[in-house]
Amino acid sequence: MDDAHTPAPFEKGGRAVAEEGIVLLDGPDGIAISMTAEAAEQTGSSLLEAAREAREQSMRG
Amino acid sequence: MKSMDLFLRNRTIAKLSDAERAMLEQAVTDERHLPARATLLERGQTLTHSTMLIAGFMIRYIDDLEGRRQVVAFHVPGDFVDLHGYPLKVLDHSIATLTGVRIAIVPHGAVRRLTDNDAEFARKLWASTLLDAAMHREWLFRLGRLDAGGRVAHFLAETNARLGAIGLSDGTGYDLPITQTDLSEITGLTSIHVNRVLRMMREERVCTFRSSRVEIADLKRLERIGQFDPTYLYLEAGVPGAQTINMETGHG
Repeated sequence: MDDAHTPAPFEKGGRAVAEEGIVLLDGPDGIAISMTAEAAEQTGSSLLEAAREAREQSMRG
Repeated sequence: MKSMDLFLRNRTIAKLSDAERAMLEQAVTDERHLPARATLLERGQTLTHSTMLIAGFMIRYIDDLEGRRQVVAFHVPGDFVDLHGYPLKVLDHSIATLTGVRIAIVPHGAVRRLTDNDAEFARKLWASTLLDAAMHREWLFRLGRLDAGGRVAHFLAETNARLGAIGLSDGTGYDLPITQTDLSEITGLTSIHVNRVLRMMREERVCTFRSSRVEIADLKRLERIGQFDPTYLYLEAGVPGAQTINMETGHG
């Protein structure tokens, strides 16, 4: 199979907006979810922590 | 309107002759009216007949363990809502009305008699269930690959084309007496998310969904946002919304 057609990590992030007291996240790709502010904060913290670890893994090669 | 008038209308893969349509009409044993928001069949139920939707809108759905609903198919007039239940016998999803509907009942015994004696007619009924399968594949694509705007746009473009095939859309608008909650269960989005998408489409003059009516201001743009390619609907040329657009340019 052509690698161009297989799922790969996204290089552009999704876009979050606040609407009626809820956080809406659109993208990357087919992601389209709604979260409470608390859930968004937890997800954001988790993403930042995972991003830090991923960057360290990349630097270790 | 007779029970089978809209079945397979303006589709390229199976054209019913007048005799075949009359034969199917004669197999109808009952016509009923159902109110909006009524469950017709539950998941796991054994079937002895198939149901033709004559007027109104219905859905196939599956609820998760917490009762949250995913609509897995949306039915317009002229659809058999459960013809696959003839060979399967037991439904793997539930079926409900969204609006008040008029339906016709065709016993499985009659389907068997008609198809046992006519292989070409059987192929046409089979083709109608394959149309359902094609739409399921497209819905998988919609939920797996498209963002919120794309999902809503795809559904509105698809419904425009399907209603166009049965004369209920002229390509510039159609009646859609469903709620934003219904739209959210169809697209896997929250009502708030759907509301935002609809507002943006209205502000950008793509389309409006208000008072149970969709008004399409820019069909090509709507189809491009939804990456909608009507090939899978097997529509006759000339049906509104049946023209394939170039996704790069948006030109037909």
